[in-house]
Amino acid sequence: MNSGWRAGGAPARRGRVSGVSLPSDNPVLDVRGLVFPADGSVLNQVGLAVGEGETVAILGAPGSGKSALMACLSGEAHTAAGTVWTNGKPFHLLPPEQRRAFRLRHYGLVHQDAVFLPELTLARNCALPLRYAGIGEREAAARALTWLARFEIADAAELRPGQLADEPLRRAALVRAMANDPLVLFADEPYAGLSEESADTTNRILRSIARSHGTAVIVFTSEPRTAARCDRMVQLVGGRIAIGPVPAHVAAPVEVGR
Amino acid sequence: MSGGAPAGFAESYFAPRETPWFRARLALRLAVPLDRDADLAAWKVAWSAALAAPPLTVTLIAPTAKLTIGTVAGLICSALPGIAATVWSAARLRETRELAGRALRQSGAEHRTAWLLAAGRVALFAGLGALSGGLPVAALHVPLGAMLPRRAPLHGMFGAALSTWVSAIAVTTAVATGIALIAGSMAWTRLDWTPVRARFRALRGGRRPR
Repeated sequence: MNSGWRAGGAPARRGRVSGVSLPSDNPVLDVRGLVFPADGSVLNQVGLAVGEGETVAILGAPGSGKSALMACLSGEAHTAAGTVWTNGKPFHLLPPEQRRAFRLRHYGLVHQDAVFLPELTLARNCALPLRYAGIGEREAAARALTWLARFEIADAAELRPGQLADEPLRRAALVRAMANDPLVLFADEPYAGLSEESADTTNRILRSIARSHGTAVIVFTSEPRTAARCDRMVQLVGGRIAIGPVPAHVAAPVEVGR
Repeated sequence: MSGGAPAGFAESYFAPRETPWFRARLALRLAVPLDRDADLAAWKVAWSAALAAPPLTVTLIAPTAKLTIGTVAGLICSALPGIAATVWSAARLRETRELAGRALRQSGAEHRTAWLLAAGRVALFAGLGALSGGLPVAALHVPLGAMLPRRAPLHGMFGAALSTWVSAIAVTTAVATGIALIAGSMAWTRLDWTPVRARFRALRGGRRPR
């Protein structure tokens, strides 16, 4: 099994080694030997471990399997083999309905094409995941407002998505994913379409919140700049995790250890 | 991933339960258009369904024994403009519906729930339109019946029982709503209309628009 940061006999300790930092011994998310689909044509023996409060970038060219990996880790796709342990719980063993319940409660997802309901205010949009998780209206609204304030967009709470620019909407997507105070946040290109300055600000807020709340953040991106904003970056090449310096141009497929 | 969960493991997780009326209130919230454009698009669906409803209701209530092919063809032809308008107007709401469904799924809704909630606006307006088109026919069937000659093929329907009229209106509403839902779905865009277009061109005798 090629379990990501352990590949090549890397020691299981936190720190920076040749531009790659290693997670803690007790990861919040521990993925081993993930295969999808059965022939491993998209993901093959993918392993990854992310510690509490850590921000990890999965860097890969378009078509390298990032979206599939996000779908597999969040339980939206069924893998052919492999294990996904979340906070010591075997997520991979859960039946579909309980997997959805677990996802609602413990995972946050930011989609690249994050969309909101235009009929609802931003606060109500951000409260929706809480309502689906069974939380009452008042508590959900209060929590959503708190999270909007944490992401510094409390002023936009009563505005509708159509009235907002890209930056507050991107942050709102993060708020919607974080409102449940998840153990793991999966973010697909969370800063897409933002200026460097906006992306830096949003990233600073996200990392600060992730550290203070102990949330493991996994950022899926094809942008080395976005990856560089994270604590650690892992390269996904041809459906496999590769450790090593990130090439300057990641769009070209690179053969690594196959 | 395979294998079963350890005994008692699954039970230790909470089961999400949406609070009562949450879905109904959300459905209502999403069904009512917010701005003028959305309002106009939704009312177009309603008017189109109202246009299609009377001939559909009459077709359903007509006595089959006395119906001639000409009468059936006439009824179908009179329903076609309304059906075409319903298809066209519902298709205009497709993108809104698709986005609503995606937003709901991203918020944690199940696929089926998201689909139903997102389809609420089309269903509501098409249903309202069909009802408003079908009900006047039912309400006015006695004076209409008096105007028709006894030998007219449709004369027998005006003596139909109340329950038959209610059923006909219910089926009309379901049919109009169904047409709007299908036309306003993404599945509609995946339909291959090439054979139909080819047939249509052939019927036009090979004439091509300049």
